[in-house]
Amino acid sequence: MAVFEANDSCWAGRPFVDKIGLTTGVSSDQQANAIAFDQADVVELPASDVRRAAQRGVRTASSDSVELFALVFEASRPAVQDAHFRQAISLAIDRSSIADVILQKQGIPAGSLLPNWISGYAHLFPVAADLPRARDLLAASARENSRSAPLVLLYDSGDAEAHAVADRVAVNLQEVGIKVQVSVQTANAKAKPMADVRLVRRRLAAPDPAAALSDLLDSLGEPAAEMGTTEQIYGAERAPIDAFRVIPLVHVSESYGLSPQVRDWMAPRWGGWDLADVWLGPSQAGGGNSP
Amino acid sequence: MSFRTKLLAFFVVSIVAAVTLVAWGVAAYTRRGFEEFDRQRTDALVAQFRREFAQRGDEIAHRVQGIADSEATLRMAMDLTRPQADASQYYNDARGIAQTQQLDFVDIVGDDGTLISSFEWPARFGYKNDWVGLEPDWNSRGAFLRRVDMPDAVDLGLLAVRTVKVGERRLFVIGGQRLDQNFLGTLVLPEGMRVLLYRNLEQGFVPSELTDPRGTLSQPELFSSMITDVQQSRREAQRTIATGTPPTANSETFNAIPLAGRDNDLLAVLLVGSSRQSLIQMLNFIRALALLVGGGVILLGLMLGWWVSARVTRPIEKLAEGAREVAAGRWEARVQVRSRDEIGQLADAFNEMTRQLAEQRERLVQTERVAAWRELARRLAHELKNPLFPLQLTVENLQRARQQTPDQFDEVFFESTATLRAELENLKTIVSRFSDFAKMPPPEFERVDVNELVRSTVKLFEPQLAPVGRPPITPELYLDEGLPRPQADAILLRRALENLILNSLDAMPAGGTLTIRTAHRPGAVRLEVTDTGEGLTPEECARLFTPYYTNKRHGTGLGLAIVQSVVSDHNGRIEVESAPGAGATFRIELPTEQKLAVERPSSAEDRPMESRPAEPRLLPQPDPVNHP
Repeated sequence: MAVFEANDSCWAGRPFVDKIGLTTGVSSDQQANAIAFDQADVVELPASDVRRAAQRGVRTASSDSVELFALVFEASRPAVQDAHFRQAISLAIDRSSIADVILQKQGIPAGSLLPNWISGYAHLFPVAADLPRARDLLAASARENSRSAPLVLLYDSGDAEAHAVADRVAVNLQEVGIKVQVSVQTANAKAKPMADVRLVRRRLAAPDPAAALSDLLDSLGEPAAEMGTTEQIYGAERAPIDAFRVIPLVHVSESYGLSPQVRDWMAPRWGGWDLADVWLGPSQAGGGNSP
Repeated sequence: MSFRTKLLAFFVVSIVAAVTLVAWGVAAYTRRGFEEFDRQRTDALVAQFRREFAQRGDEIAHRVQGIADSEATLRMAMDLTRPQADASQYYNDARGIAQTQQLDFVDIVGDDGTLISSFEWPARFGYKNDWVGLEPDWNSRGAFLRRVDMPDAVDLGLLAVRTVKVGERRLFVIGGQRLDQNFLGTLVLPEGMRVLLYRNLEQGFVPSELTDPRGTLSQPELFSSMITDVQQSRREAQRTIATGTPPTANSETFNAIPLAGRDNDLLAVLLVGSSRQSLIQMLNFIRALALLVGGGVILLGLMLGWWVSARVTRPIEKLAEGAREVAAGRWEARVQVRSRDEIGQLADAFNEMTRQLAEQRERLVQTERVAAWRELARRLAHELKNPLFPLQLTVENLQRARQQTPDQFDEVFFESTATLRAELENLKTIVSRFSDFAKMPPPEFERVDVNELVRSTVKLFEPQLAPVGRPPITPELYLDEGLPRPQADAILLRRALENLILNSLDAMPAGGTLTIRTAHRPGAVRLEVTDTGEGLTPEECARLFTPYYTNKRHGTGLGLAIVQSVVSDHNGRIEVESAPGAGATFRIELPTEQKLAVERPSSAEDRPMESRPAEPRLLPQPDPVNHP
């Protein structure tokens, strides 16, 4: 949450931002209230709150997709050794609902690790759910593996959107007959359940495909690969997806809420703040912002 | 057991029974009254709880109606009627509504049954809730119970559904509260009442599904049978369950109220319990009071019974003592009773009876004495008359010979004097017999070999057993060689045995068998003499030992009297067993030890009653009709 202070006697003729006051550790609800009551100039908005904030009259600004929600299977867990089973999970998930409803259209269903605006070939990765085929794969898998224990799905604590996505994944999987136990991943390693699959949320490291993919694969525990050409990048991205070791779910953009006096806010595609041309208009409440 | 003890026992039993019956009756009547009162109180409390429960349902329905009537919901419904309406924007609305209305369950469902927003399970958006479209008019219905699926469990909810209709399309608003321990905790219950909830989500009784407002219900198995009954019957049940520690300390009357869902499936059982602690305390107090009063009454009754029984039985005891004295021969005994009631009259009658008995006994003794003298005189006259007549004839014959034939007088004289001497000897014998009977010597006890005495006595009678010109009599001896040697007078005993043998020989003029047995009995020696003669009638048996009684032509009637006298002097007893035509058996039993020296009284009349000869006992006959 940021509060700007302008230099009213700026030589450039406009009160450009001169000071920035930052407050960290503020919950998303508190940030939403702060922007609604004109107590902050810029707040981070969770994707799921962007539409609601806009409906309340809050100015919002969003980047292109810069984050990835994905399921990553634990290779050591016997319950997820069967590739058919993992494929069935991938086919059972309704990514569109996650993007449109949970993330309130601030996400894009993802079949690839990199968003299309970075790689250009993301449309080659299917994202549609196929429940009949998922059930068939699961039946074939069930003949070989008896899975009476629920699948343990972990998500990061403190991330409400991750919680909602994990719950939705569990609902989708239960529809095809896979029992899922959704658990929160805490910092306490002893309390952490033995996960079969983890829901991870990763921000891309750079708008460059090779750099972003290399960092992403490294963070997901995938082996490094040669990425000199586009074909090599595509192949390196394809490998974990085709093996169903990683199941991309949605790409999410980065969003901010802006107070009415913030002017000329230019949202970069890559996210982040570009304050070079930002200036502050007169306060609508009659009083200025103060940190 | 004495009469006083019996009377006291009767009083005790009567008093205890009466007090117990009265105490039981009072306790039962009181208990029934209190239980009826408790039942009415419980019914009232249950009715109050039902109203509270229904009111909570009405509150939920009212809140859901408020949601449906809100402007936001109306806008949502209108928005969703548009073509290409985007329902995803309402994904989070249920959460805000639930928090505002303080509801545990809020679902917003579209016209086609698709879940638009859910508070309890947000991730289920887009899935169907088909059941909601089956009811044509939700707005007229109250709250109802329903299973609510949750991400990791199944809950029970008291739900209400309201619809917002825009055109032909409906928007369903489902709201409710979770039926759990928190719900129970919010119910306002009267004092002394508690409520438990059993969630009937599985078959059979599952103890973990039974909870109370604190969530820490102990001993859930106490309710197992009651809940099982409700599960089977689907009807309300009432039961008293001991819930105290110990179990007798407290109990509660539980009303089990089955709660069914819309499909009439049993989803939960509410157990409304009313404490009976005050009732139990009251009943315990009444029981203790009844025990105290009853014990006091019984104690008082015991004392009264002892006093009454002593007062009643004292004159009776005097009467019994008087009767015992009369039985002991003290005819002058009298009973002193002062009362004028029946007991006093009985004592007077007793005294009069003893007086009359003494007078009658004196008269009877006098009569018997006269009769005895008459009998003796008759017998003496009879015995003396026989030799006197020859004496008279001899003397007259002697006088006649002196006058008519003096020459033959000497010859007649010698014959007559011989006859006179013989008859005088006969008279002397008769007098000697009577004298012997009158002068029975006292026994001088010593150890006597009865078997040897029998053998030597029988040997003396060998000539009489095989007389010339008469059928013989065969003697048979069955002597117990292990017979002890009793203390007895051998001479008197031999004399008694001789009289019995003579009596048997007289009974068998046509010959027969004389059987003599000896046997050992505990503390005694038995001697039996049996003949095969004509036997005796019962009347003869009864008079057999009477002195001077005889049924023989030349008997004196003293033989068996002597036998009885000897046996009596030896502290023994004699009895006869006989029937006409079946012979007779005389049985003597003598004690082996003589404890007291026997002093023979001078006459029978002067003997004390204890030392008098035992009356001969007539044994029962095989057939008294055929042998009168």
